[in-house]
Amino acid sequence: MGILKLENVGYRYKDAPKDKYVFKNINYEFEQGKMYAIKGKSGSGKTTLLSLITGLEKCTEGKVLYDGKDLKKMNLDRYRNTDIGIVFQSYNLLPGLTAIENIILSMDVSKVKVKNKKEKALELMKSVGLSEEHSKRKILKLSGGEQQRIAIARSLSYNPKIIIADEPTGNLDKETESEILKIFKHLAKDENKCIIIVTHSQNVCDAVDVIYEL
Amino acid sequence: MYILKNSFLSIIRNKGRNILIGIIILVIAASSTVTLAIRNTANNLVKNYEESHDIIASIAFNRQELSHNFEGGEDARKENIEAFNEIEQITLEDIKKYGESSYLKDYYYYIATSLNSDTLSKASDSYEYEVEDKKTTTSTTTSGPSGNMPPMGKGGNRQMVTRNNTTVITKSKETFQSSRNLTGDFELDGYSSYDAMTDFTNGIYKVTDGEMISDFSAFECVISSELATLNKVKVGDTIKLKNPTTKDTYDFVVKGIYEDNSEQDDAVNMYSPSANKIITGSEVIQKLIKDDDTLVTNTTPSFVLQNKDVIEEFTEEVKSKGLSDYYTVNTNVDELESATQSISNVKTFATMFLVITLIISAIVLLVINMINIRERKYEIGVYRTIGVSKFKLTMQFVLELLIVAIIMLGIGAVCGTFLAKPVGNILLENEIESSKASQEEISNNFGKGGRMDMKFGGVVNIQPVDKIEAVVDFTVIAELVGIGVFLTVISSLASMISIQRFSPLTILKERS
Repeated sequence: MGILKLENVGYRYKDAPKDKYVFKNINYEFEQGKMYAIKGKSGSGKTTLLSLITGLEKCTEGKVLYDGKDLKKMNLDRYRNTDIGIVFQSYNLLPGLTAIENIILSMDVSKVKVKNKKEKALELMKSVGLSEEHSKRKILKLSGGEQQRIAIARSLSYNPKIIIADEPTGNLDKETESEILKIFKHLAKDENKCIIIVTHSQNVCDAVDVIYEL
Repeated sequence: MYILKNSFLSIIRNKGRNILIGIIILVIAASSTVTLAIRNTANNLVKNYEESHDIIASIAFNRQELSHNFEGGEDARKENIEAFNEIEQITLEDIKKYGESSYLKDYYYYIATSLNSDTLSKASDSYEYEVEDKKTTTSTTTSGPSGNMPPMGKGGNRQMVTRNNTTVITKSKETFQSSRNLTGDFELDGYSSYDAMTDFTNGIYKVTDGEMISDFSAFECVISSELATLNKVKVGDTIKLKNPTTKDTYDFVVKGIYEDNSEQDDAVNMYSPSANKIITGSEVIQKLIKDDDTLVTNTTPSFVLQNKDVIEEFTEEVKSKGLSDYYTVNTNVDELESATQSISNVKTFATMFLVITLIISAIVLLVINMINIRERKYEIGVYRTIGVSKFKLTMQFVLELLIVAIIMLGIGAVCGTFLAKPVGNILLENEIESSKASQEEISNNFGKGGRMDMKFGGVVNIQPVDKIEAVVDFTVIAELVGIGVFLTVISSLASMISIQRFSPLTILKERS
């Protein structure tokens, strides 16, 4: 059984006409240890679907089930800081903090029990290909690829079962894109994570196990 | 816990913004400390003043009511005095009856009478009027040729007899005076207790030789220094006083001699008004009344009220117990309030200033925070996407402001502590100056040339408050903390509302 299941999911904006859905009757299932791509044209509702999966929005129809539990009945803040890691195209890191502080903040929020948070953060940075030297830099002093690696490290900091990424390589060059995809692949295959990537990149689609098209 | 840590870190990271907020809070804190210290100290001063000065009620003639019975014109004056004499006097029994009221803490009285002396004259409300006495006399004159004797027989010389009527009007003055007037030369005041001797408690009179009477029923007395000097009387001597009607004499042992310290601006009389005043116990006067029930006495009661809120109730009670409408109950409340007027004005000013400062600063902080929240919208979005709840995020923003507020309130309280006393005294000084200027103006209107010796009513002499020792105490600190919390909550409203309204995805999309 999948860790995440979408049952007849539909979404309509509040002020939209009754029959005007962004999408409806979506039935997807996601399992741990696999990489998924959600593909679609611009305006097809990819990011909206991401927001439903991450609990930032609630579906107007159907259910999003995490580990068999309806997200509507769950504490979504807890869900976001424990069960699912989010990686955005524009990284969404706090620019006032250093790279390591961004990761530690995420650990603090999730209340994950780690003896030495700094050590763990450095370990995570190392796993995404960043050195200790990067850790002390302010976010804006890092390149796009480095920021995206920090974002991935942050999403891993509380060891979630699912990592969802919205166009994670959209702002990156081909070389960096393939490095990031390698990290995701490693996480899915070696760390048993469920990786969901919202994308319109063919390279990403080629790298994943399952593609869902909106 | 991470919320607190994040708040501290955020304050350090955003120094510029927090220094600006801090300066505003510092100004608010310092001014609030000063105004709170002044307000609370003024409050305590007024409260202590009211507690240390009893509310005294006295009974006096209601002249407005009296004037309704009086008729105008010179001819009616005698009738008016007669009508005045008809009004029942307040007796000692009445006073004792009123004194049983539960609205009272205590009551006392003094009975004034007068005994004779051959030396000094006194002022009295006597009425002198003219009386006309008409007397007509008739005289007869005869004129004719012979002698002086008028011829009565027939055929004699004719004589003329003339009758003259002469009217002589004699005008004299008669004095008519109220039966209530003390006609003797010496005023003998019999006090029921030491409390009743307000002139002594207020320091107007002071025993300078010997001591005050201790037995209120013994024929002991205290006399004025002027009377003592004039008559070469010493403490321990016995003086003889005489009932002006029955001529009975009474021996009084002089226990003490007092001096009148009241300001004298009388350039007419040789002696002070208190020169003939002899002080004794009220029971002594009652003994005199027992000997002669026609002895004229005036009884002046003073009722010590529980507080100023029971004045109306007490007045109603004494009216229901039979006090005539020709009498009115007066109190020293106005005088007490006027003594603390300046400080009350300073208190009002401080309160107004505090309220205005708080309103303005709350608005300024609210605006700064609204701008702040707009700047930190992205931060809110990131926090929300990584799973920080709205409540915790709000708490973090409130805590940031609260930490700055607490630090600045502390510094402000220290600054305010040093400023409170001098600022308070400057304000009070200005208020007293302005009050004096307005009183001088009133005094000038009375042709008094700005001398500050005019008193407008009141039962006892009360010293006004002219110094304020504004102190920053626990109450001020507690109120200051309250203000800090209030301002923090008010100015955090912007962040509270924004965090509830913001959709993290929208924020992040906007940013992208």
